[in-house]
Amino acid sequence: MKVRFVYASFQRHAEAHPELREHVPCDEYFGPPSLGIAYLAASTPPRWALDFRDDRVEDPGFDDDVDLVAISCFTPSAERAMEIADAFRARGKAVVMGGIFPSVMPEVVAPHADAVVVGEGEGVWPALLEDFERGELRPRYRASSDVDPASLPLPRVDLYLDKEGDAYHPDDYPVQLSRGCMLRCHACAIPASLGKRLRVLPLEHAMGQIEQLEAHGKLASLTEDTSFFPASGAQRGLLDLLDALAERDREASVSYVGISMPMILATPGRILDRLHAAGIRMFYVVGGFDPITRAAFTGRDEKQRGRAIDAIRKCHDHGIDPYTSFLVGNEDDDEGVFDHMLEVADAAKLQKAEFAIFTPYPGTPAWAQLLGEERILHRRWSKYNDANVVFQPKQMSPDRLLQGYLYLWREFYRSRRHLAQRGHREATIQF
Amino acid sequence: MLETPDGRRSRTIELIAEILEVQVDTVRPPQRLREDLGLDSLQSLELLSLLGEELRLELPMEEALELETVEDACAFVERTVAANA
Repeated sequence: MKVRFVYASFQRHAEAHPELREHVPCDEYFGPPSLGIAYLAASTPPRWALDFRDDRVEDPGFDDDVDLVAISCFTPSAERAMEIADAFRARGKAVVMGGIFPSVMPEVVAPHADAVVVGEGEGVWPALLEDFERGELRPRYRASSDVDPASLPLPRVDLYLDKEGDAYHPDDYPVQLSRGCMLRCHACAIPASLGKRLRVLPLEHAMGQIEQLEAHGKLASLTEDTSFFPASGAQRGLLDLLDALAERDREASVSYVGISMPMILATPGRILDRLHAAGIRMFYVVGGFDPITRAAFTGRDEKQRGRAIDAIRKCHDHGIDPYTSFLVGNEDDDEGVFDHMLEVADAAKLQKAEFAIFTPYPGTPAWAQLLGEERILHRRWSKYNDANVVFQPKQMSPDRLLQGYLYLWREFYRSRRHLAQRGHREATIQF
Repeated sequence: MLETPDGRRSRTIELIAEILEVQVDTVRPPQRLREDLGLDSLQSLELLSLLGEELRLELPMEEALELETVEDACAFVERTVAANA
């Protein structure tokens, strides 16, 4: 038996709005797939042959000789994933769909798949394969409990690395430190898709992920803000990892760490020093999701504006570059928000930033709220990608929000043309 | 000070007062942290950070997020200390 894993493609900012390339003096970062397929491939029994197709860079191979096709998608890639599923099924292939979107909207993908996996795939994958071998594939597989992080094998990132070429060669690959989250953030789908319990992966697993990337000359990106939760087991896990990295006498192997402004402010300076000592020189700062930055960017809350600038300065003071993402279109944002964001960015002396349109992804509290208020404009999932307006904003028209988002990209980089002369890493952003 | 339940209770209330920048005798056990005292999300994180540091303990986050009153915070500290004894 052979299973083919497929990662479906989606549009990024620069693909949705090619004119941005004229205004942004940076290289586009074309990143690797999320880790879902790599973990599932590692959990596949050895009696199964497997391969992987990255729909962003190659043909899915509809006519190839495979028994089962497993497609992973999140909301921006859901439409394409369903197209791919239909094409395989038209050729008689059985299709399983999983990932964030199928987990939170199983009824949408069900007509396109022979089976839908809801929740963490590793918990049901071996049983699903056995059912398929017996000809008893069920339409729905729901992970009944959270996966034990100590049971996880190292993800098969080699499947991703094999796809690199001239046009696609990421500097870094994601490394997972935990799963699930107990917070209930307005715009986040993690609790709905990966559970409400924060489970920390063992130190050996985290180091194992980093070391297998190092063996291929790649950096690790640590994306989880929950790792900074004060006095938590997750923070303990991060600190242990930092110590393990600092003890080694070699070049830094982490490209960036994801964090929000409240976490920067709540994290003691000595922990930021430990991040620096471990070789970490960049934060990916997510702005616009939390109460501080949501208020700071409105221009009506001087205290929170000051806190946002303090957070960015704190990064600079500890030698960590805060590459900041600004989310625009929150409920309190009126037409003044665009200039207020630029003013905060200039006051904090930010060098690099990205801008995203608030998007009510299925599975988030925001989706439930806007659906209830009949403010969802459409369900063309490919437009749910932070680069289009898919809901009725509270204080401006959808077009005004879209124009404001494009204005932010243009205006922020108008005074930062010098970035084009910088080195590769300094001049690369995600857009 | 942190060796006894009374000491930990006093210190927890002191920390809340320090974060809110108010006199310690204005913080009373039945008061609600957010609605009555105005503790915002960042200050909640700061409180957890300071409690964890002073008690030298990891705090169960699911429980920490449920705290509503000053009394809840004091009881949470005692439960956490007892669980780690």
